[in-house]
Amino acid sequence: MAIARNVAGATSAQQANQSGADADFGGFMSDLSDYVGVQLTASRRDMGQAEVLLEDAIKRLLSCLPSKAGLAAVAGGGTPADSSARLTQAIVNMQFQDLVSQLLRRADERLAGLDKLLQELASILAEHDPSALRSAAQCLGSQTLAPERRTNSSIQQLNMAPGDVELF
Amino acid sequence: MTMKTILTVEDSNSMRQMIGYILRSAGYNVVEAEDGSKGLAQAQSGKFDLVVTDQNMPNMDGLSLIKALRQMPDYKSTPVIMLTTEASDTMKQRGREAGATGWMVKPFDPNRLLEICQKLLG
Repeated sequence: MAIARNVAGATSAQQANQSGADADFGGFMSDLSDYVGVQLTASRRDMGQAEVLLEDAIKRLLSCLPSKAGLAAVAGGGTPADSSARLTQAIVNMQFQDLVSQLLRRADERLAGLDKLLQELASILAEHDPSALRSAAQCLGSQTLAPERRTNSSIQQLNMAPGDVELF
Repeated sequence: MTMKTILTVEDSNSMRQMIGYILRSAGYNVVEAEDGSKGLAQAQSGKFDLVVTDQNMPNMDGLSLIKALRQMPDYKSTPVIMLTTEASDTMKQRGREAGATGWMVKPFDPNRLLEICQKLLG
């Protein structure tokens, strides 16, 4: 009987220790989730600001473009043909904004997915709710499909050289 | 000679402005739409000689727009150029199947765009 009582006492002590460890782990994960969530939100805000700045810069540059008729006036020491070639090159180069904006939007989609997953995990830790676990598993499943796989699209350009042209 | 009218469908403000600038400088009349569904509405309310569209746009993408245009009697044979960052053969094949006339990968050379427009508009 005494042995049985000792075993029972030891078991409840272990359970208490386990419960304390669970609480520590839960607390740590909750803090981690909060921290990562804040960083994700800040990263998405920075990317949004970068996109706004890019858009504004290109809008201002575009408003400086001369008309064809005005090219001769801005030719300076060169010929209107030189100016026209420079204008063409400027238009090609200004398209970097469109490429960068699309890449920023994809990165934002990925961060939004991570943010959502993190919220699901925080919910599981807070509620010990089995349905939250299923919801998180679904969320993880959807996030494993990266934006380019969901839309069948990809941006592979590594420089600003003009792309291919094909007539069908 | 009547001025040719081109519909440009592009969700990026700067790209839309840039394409419009290039085409207007060459003497074309240009109407702009900011996504596929607005482009389709424009096409339904008027007749365009040529359509230049982006692929990745909110509400309706370029491939869906082309498929919808090809269902309309007025646009069965109207030239449609896809102007997009998409460069894969798979996407080009999808464009061909949808009924695109041509495919230009961004960044694009404005002179090449004008050459293609002039060629398709005769």
